[in-house]
Amino acid sequence: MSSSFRSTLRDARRAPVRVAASILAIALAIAAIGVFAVPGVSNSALREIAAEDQLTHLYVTTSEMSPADLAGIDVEVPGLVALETRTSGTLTTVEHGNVHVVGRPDASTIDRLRVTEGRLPTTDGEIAVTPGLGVPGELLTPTGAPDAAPLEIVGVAETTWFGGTDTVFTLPETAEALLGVEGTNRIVARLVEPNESNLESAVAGIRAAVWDAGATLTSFPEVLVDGAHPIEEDIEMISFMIGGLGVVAGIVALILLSSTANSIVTERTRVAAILRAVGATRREVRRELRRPAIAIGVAGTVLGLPLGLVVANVISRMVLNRFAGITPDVGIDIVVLAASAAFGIVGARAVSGRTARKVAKAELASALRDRDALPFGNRWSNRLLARIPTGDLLRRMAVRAAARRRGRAIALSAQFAGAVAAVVLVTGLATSVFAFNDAELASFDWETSVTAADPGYPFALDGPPTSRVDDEVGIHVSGEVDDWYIELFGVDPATTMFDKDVNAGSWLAADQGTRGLVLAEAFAEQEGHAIGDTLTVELASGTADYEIVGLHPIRSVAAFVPVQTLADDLGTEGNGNTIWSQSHGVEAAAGSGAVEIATRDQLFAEDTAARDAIVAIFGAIGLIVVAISAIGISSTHAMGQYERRGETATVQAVGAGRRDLRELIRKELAGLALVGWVVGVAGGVLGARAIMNAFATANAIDLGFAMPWVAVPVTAVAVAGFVQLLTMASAGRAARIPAAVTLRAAT
Amino acid sequence: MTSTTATTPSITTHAPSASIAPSGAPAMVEARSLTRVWGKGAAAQTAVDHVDLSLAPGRLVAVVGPSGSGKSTLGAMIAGIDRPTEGSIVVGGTRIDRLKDDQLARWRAGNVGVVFQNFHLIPTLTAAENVALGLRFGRKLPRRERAHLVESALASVGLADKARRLPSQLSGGEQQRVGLARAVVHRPAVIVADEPTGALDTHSGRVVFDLILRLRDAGTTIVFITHDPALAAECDRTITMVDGRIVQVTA
Repeated sequence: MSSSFRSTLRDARRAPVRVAASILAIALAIAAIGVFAVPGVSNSALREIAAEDQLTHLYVTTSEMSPADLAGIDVEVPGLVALETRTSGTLTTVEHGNVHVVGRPDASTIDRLRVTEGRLPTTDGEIAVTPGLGVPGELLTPTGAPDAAPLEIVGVAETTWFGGTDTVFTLPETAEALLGVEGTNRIVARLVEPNESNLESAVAGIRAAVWDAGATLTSFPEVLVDGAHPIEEDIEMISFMIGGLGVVAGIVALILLSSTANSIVTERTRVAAILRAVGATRREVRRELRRPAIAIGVAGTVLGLPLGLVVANVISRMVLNRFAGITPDVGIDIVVLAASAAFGIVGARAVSGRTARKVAKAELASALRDRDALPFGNRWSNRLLARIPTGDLLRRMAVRAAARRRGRAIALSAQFAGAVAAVVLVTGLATSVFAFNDAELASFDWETSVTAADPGYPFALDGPPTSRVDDEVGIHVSGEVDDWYIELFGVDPATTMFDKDVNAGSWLAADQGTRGLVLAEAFAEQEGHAIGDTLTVELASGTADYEIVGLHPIRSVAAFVPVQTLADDLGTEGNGNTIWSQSHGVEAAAGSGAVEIATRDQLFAEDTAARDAIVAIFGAIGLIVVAISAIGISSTHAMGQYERRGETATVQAVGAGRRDLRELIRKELAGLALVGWVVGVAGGVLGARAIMNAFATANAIDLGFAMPWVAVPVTAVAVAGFVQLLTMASAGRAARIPAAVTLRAAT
Repeated sequence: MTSTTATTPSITTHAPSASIAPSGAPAMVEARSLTRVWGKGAAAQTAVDHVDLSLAPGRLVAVVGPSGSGKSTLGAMIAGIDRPTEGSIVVGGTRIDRLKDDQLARWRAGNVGVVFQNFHLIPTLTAAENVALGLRFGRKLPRRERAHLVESALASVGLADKARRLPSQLSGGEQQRVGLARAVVHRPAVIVADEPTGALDTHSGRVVFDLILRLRDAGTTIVFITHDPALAAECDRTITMVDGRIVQVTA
């Protein structure tokens, strides 16, 4: 048995609660670092699934064409591993409403289907479905399709690309019959090296080949760079914010580790002095002092690593379950794991080494006399403070005690600050996301939006598609500007469906020319676009140039263009793909195929569900930080009280009762907590602002920051309550032991 | 000096009674079968073993004995900073072993002063503030009166000019005099001085002891725990303790 282990065991027997608290504190600190692993674990789980499914790297929708037209495309698109066609569309069914239909060749290798029940279709008329749509042997009945005979489910299967959507997989012939499509209307491809440049070349090659075949791209191509999972981008924001919280958790953990290691070393000051008195060198003393701190660091690390793994995986699971409907396998981020272990062991060694040097340097005689060799009055600042009236006797004791043990006082304040900052940060991020979600819809004056379920432009622009007079047909598509995805709204310049108030320039005017464009102001500012500039937008059909005429307050990356102009650029032959309405419950356009109807209420509800999930995830991380801080504060405070037990007993001996002890302890703790609270609120607000700004810059959107006012009184009350609890516990403990007993043990 | 009781622990089944109060006069300290056991079970150690004690007011009583004989524990129980495991103790007419913790604290604040071998000054408070601590928890006094009492107490121990010094800026003897001033500032009826000269050089020890003699002359009852036979000889009475029992009382 090593001597450090024996020494730690002895310490554990002498003060089991304190040693256990130290180990637990370090373990929690290590666990908190696990938060950093969340993005890594999530992404690795997603990438693993993507690789397993042979997920497509590129996805384009086209007008109807024959697969034979794409023969020889591999010459035009170098680096292709595979290119396949699909016949896809939306089918309305009796049992499940709109479902996505994918007709794919039997020998398809891209977007591999994982069969969980039954088998894949092998003959015309058979279908496999995603989980939840049915089981083998059941039927699915199309409504209003050319071939309305019930379809037999032969299997249940899923694949990443269609994760979370109700999808029917079948053979191409069956899909053609069900959807009334002749030939194919989708192309998927995998590349040897799916980097950004290769994918751009592939899109250009495919666009040219499709054009040569007399067809067109009907929506902006989707690419997944470097084998990414489609959901990665969606969880980027949450990963980014989790990283921000991880930084707070890491800082709190660092303070906790320092404070714990310091305490373990400092309380052995007299042991160090005795060792020196009997002939030990400073080096030997330092080693002896470091041992228990390192042993506790190792114990905390051993306990903390699995805890960190659990934290990372539980939070990853929460994120992926909510945002991707995926339950990932257990993942390990080796870098974070190694960093956590190094943090616990090397950190304990470094921090305890520093304190040990200080303790070993103390003058031997005074170290033997004074338990912690911390006299008050040797510094001019102490003497000055002793002359400043800082309140009654107990308050003076409290203030000067904090000055005497500055390190501990700073650690206590910092831990309060860490907990408060975590709460303010979490609340700040949540309120800002809420505010952004609300503001995102603020530019929309419509109540209902009806969009064609499939790429294509089924609604005529030149007349109301329904009997309602307050409907408006337009175009809503994606494009690309300066390597950013942009939402393009093709609208009537006299639209009543969108807010036409601009921050600069003017709204689209009928007489200002047909190529005017109103751009989101935040995006324009970030990318350096101004009114009068020409903006080149890449559309599904190719590039198009517009003149910026106004800057709009809409907070996402978006732009408004005259609908006729956009229709011409997209080659929609005078049609649109969206009907906006200011009424609730728009009539679906008859004969226009499957449509998706969204109301503002639904969008709000979706936002609310997403908010709840975000709050739950942030809350979980925030709770970890708060728990670490609470343990850290309790442990540091208990250590401080233990060191000063002689003083406390002296005060008791001259007549202080439980209430007086409470007053003494509260005065010291409340001051430090107040400092921590102020720093925490400021730090939390600044941190949340910084995270939101960084994310806004990274995404060219106007995220803004909403001050989490509610967190200010809540954290104040929580801190005050915690101070009161700690005070009562400490005073109660001190008062229970007769002063003589404490003085006997302390001298 | 006359020996009133001389019984060795080896031949007695009960500790002898130490009565230093004149017959009929009310005792300042009255203990019956006072016992203090440290620890529990096999590790239990009896520090004070069924001690009977009666001390008259205004006397300076020395308690002597080898280390571990229970002197300090007896002093602590008289001062109300420790509680007996068994037995009763009445100080100044109050049965202090029956008081609740907070009542006992308030009793200490008004009735007893304690001087420790290691001074036990609060290192962050000045000399005057340490003395003022002795008034902080007792009867509420006007600020001016409090300041006057602190000044007087410091002056009485010869430290009026060092009122604003911190303990780290005072010598050992000076620190002990501050401790003594703190013990007397609220004019207690009883002072327990636990080896107050033990950590001091001969001269400083003499200065402190002379102050204690002056307190006795002013009518304060003082329990003076010491290892120094010369100082003990100057006290009104001497109680000798061995293994937690009073084995001899001399006058």
